[in-house]
Amino acid sequence: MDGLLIGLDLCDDYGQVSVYGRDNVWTIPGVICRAKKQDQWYIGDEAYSVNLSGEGVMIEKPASFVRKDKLAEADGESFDGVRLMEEYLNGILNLIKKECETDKVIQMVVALPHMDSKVMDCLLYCADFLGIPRSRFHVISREESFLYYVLSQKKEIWAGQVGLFDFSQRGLRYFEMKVQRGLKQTTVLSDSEELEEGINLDMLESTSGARLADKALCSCSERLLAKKMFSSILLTGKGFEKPFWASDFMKVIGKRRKIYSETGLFARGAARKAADCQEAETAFPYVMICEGRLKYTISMEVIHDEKPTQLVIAASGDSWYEAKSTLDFILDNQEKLVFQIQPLDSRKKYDVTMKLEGLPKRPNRTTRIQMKVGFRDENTMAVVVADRGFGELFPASDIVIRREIAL
Amino acid sequence: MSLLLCRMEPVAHPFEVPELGVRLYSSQELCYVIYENPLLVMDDFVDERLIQFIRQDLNMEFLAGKLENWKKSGENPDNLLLLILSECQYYTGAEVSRYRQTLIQLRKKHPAQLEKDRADYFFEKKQYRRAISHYEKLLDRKRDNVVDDRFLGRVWCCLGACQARMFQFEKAYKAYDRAGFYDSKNPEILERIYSLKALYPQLPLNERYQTLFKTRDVKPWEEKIEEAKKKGQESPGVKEINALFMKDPEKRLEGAARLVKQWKQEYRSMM
Repeated sequence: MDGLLIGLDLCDDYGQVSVYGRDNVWTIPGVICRAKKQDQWYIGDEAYSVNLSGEGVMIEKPASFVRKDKLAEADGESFDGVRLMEEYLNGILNLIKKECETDKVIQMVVALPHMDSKVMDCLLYCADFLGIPRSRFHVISREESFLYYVLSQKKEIWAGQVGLFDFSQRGLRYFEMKVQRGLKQTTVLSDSEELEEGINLDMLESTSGARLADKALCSCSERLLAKKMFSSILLTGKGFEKPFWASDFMKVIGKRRKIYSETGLFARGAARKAADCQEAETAFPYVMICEGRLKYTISMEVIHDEKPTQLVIAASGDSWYEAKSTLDFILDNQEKLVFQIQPLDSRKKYDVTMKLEGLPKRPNRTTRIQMKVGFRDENTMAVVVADRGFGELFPASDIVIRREIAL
Repeated sequence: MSLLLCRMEPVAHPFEVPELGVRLYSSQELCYVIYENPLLVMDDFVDERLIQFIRQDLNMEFLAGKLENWKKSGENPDNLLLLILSECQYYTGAEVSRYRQTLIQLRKKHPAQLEKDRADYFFEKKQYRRAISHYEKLLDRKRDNVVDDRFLGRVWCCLGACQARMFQFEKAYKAYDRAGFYDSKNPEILERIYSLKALYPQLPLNERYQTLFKTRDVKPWEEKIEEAKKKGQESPGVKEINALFMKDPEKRLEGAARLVKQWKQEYRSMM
């Protein structure tokens, strides 16, 4: 393919890049350095060396500036998080383009540890800055990236449940994936949790610390993996690059299960999704339920062909950030909108009503409303209803009704 | 109680209905106009211009093609209207059937009565010039059991009302005078001439009317005129003007410009 399908795992401490079709994974430390008295930026290892030589000012963890709405000072100038991210991503892209000897980015998928809307908005601004059309730029969670990675492997790996231990600078995190095979569609669920076992990478530098870490991992893995059928356990993160320190842990997780180690797992998963975005038909025809995707199906009853029909506004498994819809309705003796919310467990279905107060009085069926639906996060739906009138026969008013619905 | 989902109709060139002074931007508006204004749309409403709008702007190729074929084959124009209503699904099947009955009832009427209904419809819509043109056509009709003196008297009376609403009081007086000629027993005509004189005192009246007014008890008419004047002073339009003059000069000018624009539009459609 002529161009790059890039997956980027972006966290505060580093950015890990994988290009679909290539084995390499590039790890770029999360630092950025601005050269003194000139508008030149360096990233990663180059940033460290420019800073050491005293020719630049280094800023660590550019992503954290976006999340915390902070300004960075460099050489008497202030830079906001968006600017830092633009330069950091620009540096990463330049590096990859040079390595792969091509300038064209076909698709780019960024995996985030958490789906923070501030960071997601910022990344989309960055996509504009980098000249990547928004239709070719996607932001997903690490949970989703994990799903793409696993689902792109042989089926025997994910015949049962799949566990993933991620041991990095941020600590230890456990991911779990399970598959629900249904008659109509297969649902793939992923969940994750931070493990508060009090272990970190620094402990691995001493023998006693490593032993302690191994013991802690053993106890938490016994708890997490008990009474479940796992077909494989994956390990990722710097802590598992050379896992000889965790011999007991390996014995526990290796009981009747296969173990795989992959350092750039999230970046590779993101790259796999980038490749899939390019295809006319997806190779992953599953409903994926994970962070960044909706766990509810939201629908409304509308009249079509004189018959009541259930119109799906957003379906479970849709990316909440991208699930935006605009619909026009005509009110037929109706003064409210009723949303049917259906969680994964269909028995817990419920309705949410939104009153349409303040709309001008007009003859029946001569009020057209435009409803815009978006999501603030995976549990909050934002609805904006605007009065559109009925053409020049009954002109529109400027009435807009807004409501946030907690799912 | 329900919600009708609207199809996406990116109308670039809205369909103008000059008789109503509006442009239509959707299939729902088109259906509404057809359903609510049968007298307006019964004849020649479905023409090349409308078919082009349906095809290009509403993006309803199937309907446009069917209308085109039916029109070429000389299909009953009512069926073309019913086809539009059925295809757009803005009205229910039952409502479309009711509309069919309305059209049938209208078609059963005597042509002169239908023409008068149409003229009355334009009068109600304040399209006085169009109404006059239809009323005048009726005056040229051959007499029969419907088009008799009483009918012609009513037509002249309506013509007078149109002229009066257009501030053409002398023409209005002449029309009422003719109405009186055909329907001399109708007391309403005399009352209208009296009201006209009250509104426009310079109006030269035939001595016959002066004498008639002296011999009649005009007190109830006077009361009606006073009541109408009072009602006019309390009308939303007058209130709007009063409220406008209470505003600061900038807002007053802005409001006045808007009002004058609205009046101009109303006057244009009236003419």
